[in-house]
Amino acid sequence: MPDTNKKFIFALSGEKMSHPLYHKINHLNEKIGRLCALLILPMVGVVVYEVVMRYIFAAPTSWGFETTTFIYGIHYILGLSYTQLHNGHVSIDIFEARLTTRKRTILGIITNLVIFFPTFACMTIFSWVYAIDSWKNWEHQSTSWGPPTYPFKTLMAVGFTLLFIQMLAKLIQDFSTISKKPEEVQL
Amino acid sequence: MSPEILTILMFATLIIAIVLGHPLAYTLAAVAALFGLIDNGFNIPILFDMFANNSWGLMQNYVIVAVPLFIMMAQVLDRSKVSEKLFESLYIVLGGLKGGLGLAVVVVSTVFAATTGIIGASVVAMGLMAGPALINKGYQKELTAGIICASGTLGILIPPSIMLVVYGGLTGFKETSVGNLFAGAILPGLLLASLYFLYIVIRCHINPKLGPPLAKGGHTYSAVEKWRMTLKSLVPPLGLILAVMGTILSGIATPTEAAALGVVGAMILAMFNRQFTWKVLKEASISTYKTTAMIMMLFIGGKLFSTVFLSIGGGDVVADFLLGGGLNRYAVLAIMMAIIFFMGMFIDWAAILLVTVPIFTPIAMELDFNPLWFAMLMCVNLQTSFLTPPFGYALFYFKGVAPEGINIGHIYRGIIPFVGLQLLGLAIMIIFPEIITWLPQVLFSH
Repeated sequence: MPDTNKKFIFALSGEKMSHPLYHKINHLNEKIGRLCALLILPMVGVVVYEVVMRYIFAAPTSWGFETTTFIYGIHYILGLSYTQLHNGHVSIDIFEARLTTRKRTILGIITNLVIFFPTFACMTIFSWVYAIDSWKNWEHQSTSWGPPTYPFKTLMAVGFTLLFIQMLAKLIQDFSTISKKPEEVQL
Repeated sequence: MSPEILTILMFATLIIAIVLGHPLAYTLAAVAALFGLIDNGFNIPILFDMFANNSWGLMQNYVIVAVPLFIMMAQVLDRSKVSEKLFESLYIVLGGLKGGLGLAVVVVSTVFAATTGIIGASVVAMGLMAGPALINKGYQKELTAGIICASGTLGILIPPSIMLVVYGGLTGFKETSVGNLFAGAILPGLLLASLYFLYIVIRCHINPKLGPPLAKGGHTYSAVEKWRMTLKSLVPPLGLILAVMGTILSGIATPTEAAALGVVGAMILAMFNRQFTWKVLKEASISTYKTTAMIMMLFIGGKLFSTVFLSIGGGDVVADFLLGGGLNRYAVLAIMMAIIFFMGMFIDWAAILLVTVPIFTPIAMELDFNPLWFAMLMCVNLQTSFLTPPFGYALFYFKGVAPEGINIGHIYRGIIPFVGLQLLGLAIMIIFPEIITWLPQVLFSH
């Protein structure tokens, strides 16, 4: 659906002249989000299959439990950035709501730089270190099925990375908003 | 620095950072990072390795798998038009009574609370469906707003409920397993629904102008017709409730399994109502995705915050503060409840739950309170957080879909009596703990 995506990005930015990187990141996370949202369907499928096998055929699978957990983990960790793209993470705007758009944008840049970036830069880097350690040790789950752990730890790092670059896109957008003259800013 | 000073600083920093309007989940993680570093002498690799490990732990939590599944069930059900059908028939059955449409809202919301675990969808659905109906029939704006917001939030308390899944997944105790919490929440949920019901009956009898009965005229229905209509619209949701809750409470299925079966059940109901299309499925998946990721991000932030808070000794500081004065244990309970209630006026339920439960649960254990009972009091209090001004999320959801002419002032004034009813319900549950503990004992004592 390239058309709806394009429309969406224009609607979100509200203008055509923002930084190209901003569009690229939004586009990437929108695509990944729309695809990964559908992971809920195989999640339902695997759990239902497991229930049917256990209660009706008395033949529980060795993989149902872990597969479900893995799908659930990938589902939400890759969704963090999509939810950020759509401003879905809750915040308290007691104070913010009283500011003008320009002041709110400046406050947004400051809180982003002070609160989000240092924390999630470390979070992203060390989740990669965590994943690489898992690859080095050729880590597998300690269960009878024993699937490999490293691909999923890698996806956790990917999830935090996508969230990080999504906030980077927000920062770029906020800077381009305040760099314009105040009267050009839409209220 | 002493643990006392660190604890106070950590909370103070959190409050200041929250007020700045940055997303709560990131703020919790950042405050955790700052104080974790102060505590461990600025050893970044050790702290963030622990954070990565905590995040990974959440990705492995099978109990919480039920969260996206219950959200998906609610999203599919919301698009299946099942609640519209029930409201249409109750409109006719109860409409002739004083306050009857308000009672219809309470009944529909209670039934749907037992099929869904989230509140956004139920408040929005009731606001769109019942809001215009009540206002057009001359119901007072304040009362209409209060009824819809309060009844709509029952979804988060009456099982299945994602709040209870998060609570169970967080504590990991046998007493507060998701199954026990579900069983324990049924009677408190019904108690609150009954309080709303009685309140509407009494107020509309004293002053029928608040909720006038529908005028007789047009087609009148016989008692048999009314019964048939009600049953026909009640059977599908009740079937789903029995399938989901029945399998959990009888111990046949885990909550996660029952949730997945519930998604399939909701899809079947949507198929019967000819609402099951790929478009519906895709929209439901995307709404589910946003809500799930929002809660899980808070879960990550909350987990990091409470881990650091407990490791700097904050848990002991709060416990000493509350227990050191030698207060009566019910006074300590009242303080804890007041803290949750106050936080609920500003912060979202998930953040409060994830921050306070790890701190308060050991204190409740120390005071020898029944863990399940204590958990349920917390949950009723958190449900109230949706209603308490200035930042009650149910009020905002309703404002978004309210009929013209209802402003936030009407909603605030309308909700206050219902917040009073919530506190009354909480008091009743404290005085009669059996309301919470009886059903789980009967079901799970073997």
